[in-house]
Amino acid sequence: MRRPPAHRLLILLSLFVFALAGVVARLGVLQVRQARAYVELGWEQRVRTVTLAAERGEIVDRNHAPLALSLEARDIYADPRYVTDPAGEASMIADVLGWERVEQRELRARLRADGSFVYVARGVDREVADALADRGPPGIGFLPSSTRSYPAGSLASQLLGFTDVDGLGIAGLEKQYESTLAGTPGERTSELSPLGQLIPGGLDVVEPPVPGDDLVLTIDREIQFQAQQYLRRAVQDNHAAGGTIIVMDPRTGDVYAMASYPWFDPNRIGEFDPATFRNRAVTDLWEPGSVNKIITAAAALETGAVALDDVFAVPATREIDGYTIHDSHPHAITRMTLADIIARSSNIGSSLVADRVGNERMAAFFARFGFGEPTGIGFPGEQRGLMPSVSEWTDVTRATVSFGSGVAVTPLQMASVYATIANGGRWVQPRLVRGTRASDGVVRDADVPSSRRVIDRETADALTQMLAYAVADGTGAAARIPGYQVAGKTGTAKKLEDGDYVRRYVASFFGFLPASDPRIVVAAVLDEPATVYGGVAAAPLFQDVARYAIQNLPIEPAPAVPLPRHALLLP
Amino acid sequence: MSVPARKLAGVAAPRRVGASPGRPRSVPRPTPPRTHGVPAAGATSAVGRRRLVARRFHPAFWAMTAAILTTLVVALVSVSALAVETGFGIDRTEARIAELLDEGERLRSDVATMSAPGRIAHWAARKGLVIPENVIVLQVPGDAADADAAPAGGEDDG
Repeated sequence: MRRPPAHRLLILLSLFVFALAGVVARLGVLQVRQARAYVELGWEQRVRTVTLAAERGEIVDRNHAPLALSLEARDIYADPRYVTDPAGEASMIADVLGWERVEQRELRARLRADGSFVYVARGVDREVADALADRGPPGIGFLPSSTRSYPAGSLASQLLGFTDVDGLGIAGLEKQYESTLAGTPGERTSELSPLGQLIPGGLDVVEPPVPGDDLVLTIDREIQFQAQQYLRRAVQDNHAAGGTIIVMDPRTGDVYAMASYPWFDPNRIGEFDPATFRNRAVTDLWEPGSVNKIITAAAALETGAVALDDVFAVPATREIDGYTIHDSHPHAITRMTLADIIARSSNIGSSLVADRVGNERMAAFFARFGFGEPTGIGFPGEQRGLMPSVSEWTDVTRATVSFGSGVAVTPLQMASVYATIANGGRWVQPRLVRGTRASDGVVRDADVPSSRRVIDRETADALTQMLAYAVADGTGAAARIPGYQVAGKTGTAKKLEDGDYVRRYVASFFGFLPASDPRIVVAAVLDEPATVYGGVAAAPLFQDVARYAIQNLPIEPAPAVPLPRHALLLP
Repeated sequence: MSVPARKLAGVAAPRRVGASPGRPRSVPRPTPPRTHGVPAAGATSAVGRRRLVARRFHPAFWAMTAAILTTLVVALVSVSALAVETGFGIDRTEARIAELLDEGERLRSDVATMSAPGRIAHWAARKGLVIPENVIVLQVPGDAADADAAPAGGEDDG
């Protein structure tokens, strides 16, 4: 046999060597140059990171009664590719979930849609989802989730707010304290096979979620509930458009109750007018009317512009720069001291007092009482109020502002004014949150609310006597409570629409008790009551709420403060 | 003045008398002791090999080996079974914990719902119970507060 020529073997060998060199070169590229990219690609294919949702904290009242909590739920989804009978499945799902025909029709359309994922329902009660799972509809899947529950329904709903379907706080305290309540989500990073099964011995790292802290409110559930009941009754009895109630502790700034009617049920927000979501106690402004006169009196006493025994000759009307202002009822020229002006709620008397104080000092006292600034409660949407700049004040401005026209405040701002007087002249920032409670049950108190002295104690005591006089023998008689001395002031303000005052009113009563050792301040505001006047419409609401708070807290009677010595109109 | 290394290399090191400068001197190999008729230890005579084989395949050796291996296998299987069983137990316990936590959460929600003032008030109203109106606090004579009861309604204001 003839041997092949050597050069062929050499060529063949060269080819093999060349091919091998190519393989080696490619291997080098893959293993060295592109190694990192391929490692990452493989990692991405095998390793999956799943976010573990953190449990949202609860919201509880001052006695730790739950007001908002999270419950385990299921998100139901469908993969339309595997849905065999969209109409039949939509009917069955609607039946289990208790849906109406319209929702069923929408679901049928979704089950027929292109794509591989559509939500059927979110935040479904676990038992309902289990019932659906038992029927085993093809193409339907379940994901763990949670839903927010408000077990007391409409109780403090405007305060609590609500969350969206993803559990994110979007209104009220749920929004304000989102970072506290939400917690920190965890992560699970695992190596999975192509079939989605955990690879034994592979990477499996779990970083557990940190649950959110619970929020401990200053709200008292019982007082809140009863205040809401009385508010609703007052609105209905007085044929009012709405109303607001606030109950707070003047010493600590703790708000025991805060509500506006009409309200809503956060468990069924879709059924309510979004206007009812507003916490009008902090988001709505109104011209306070006569309840503002106490600031005029405070400025007059504190600056020494008016003495307690100074007497004013008060007519029923007064003309300033072509404008006529008048008292609520005609009367002859009457001799009044400052206490009489407050007790009888004289607009003219108040304007005469303001003349003595002057623009700058009046404006300064409004600012000291917090007008034009948020209270610091931090509630979403809180208004700071409207206060004309002192440089724009005219004589008419000074007169009208002295009795609460031409300025706008929130009910909470005005409640803070009365709380300041009740607290001996020291303003304390109102607060809704007492502290937080960690998942291990440890309660951490909130920071002590800020405070500042606004007026001297002597001035506050004199104002308290005037307010007690206003209730004992003035416009606030309907607020009296047997056994307790109430100090307070009525207010009736015309509403402003499109720049003109209209014959619709806001009636209010702001007061505190016991006058000598105040434990609660109650603000009662009714919007457009048929009975018009604060002394008729709002004072009884104050009385009902204060009477309940006396029993609930409880509040012991205290010695009465003397009525003003220099009052001329005392019987 | 330093001296170049080249020149230093030529300087002969002092020698020990009698010591060889090159290889170490060879040591005579020890001769194995001679034996007469008895094979030395490690020697592979036919008899020794037979004895060794006989000892290695002794039934007791096999029995012992089998016993040890069986024990090891049984122990290994037992430990594995125990581990698996413990794993299942942990899974069961974890599932039970999750279930009980859910149940606890649900019960908390139920308690919160049941104790909600609105629900209680509704139930009480159905039973004919009402919150007392116009509660009057009686005071021990001599106590201070002297406010009187007043009829509802009042004077109007500005």
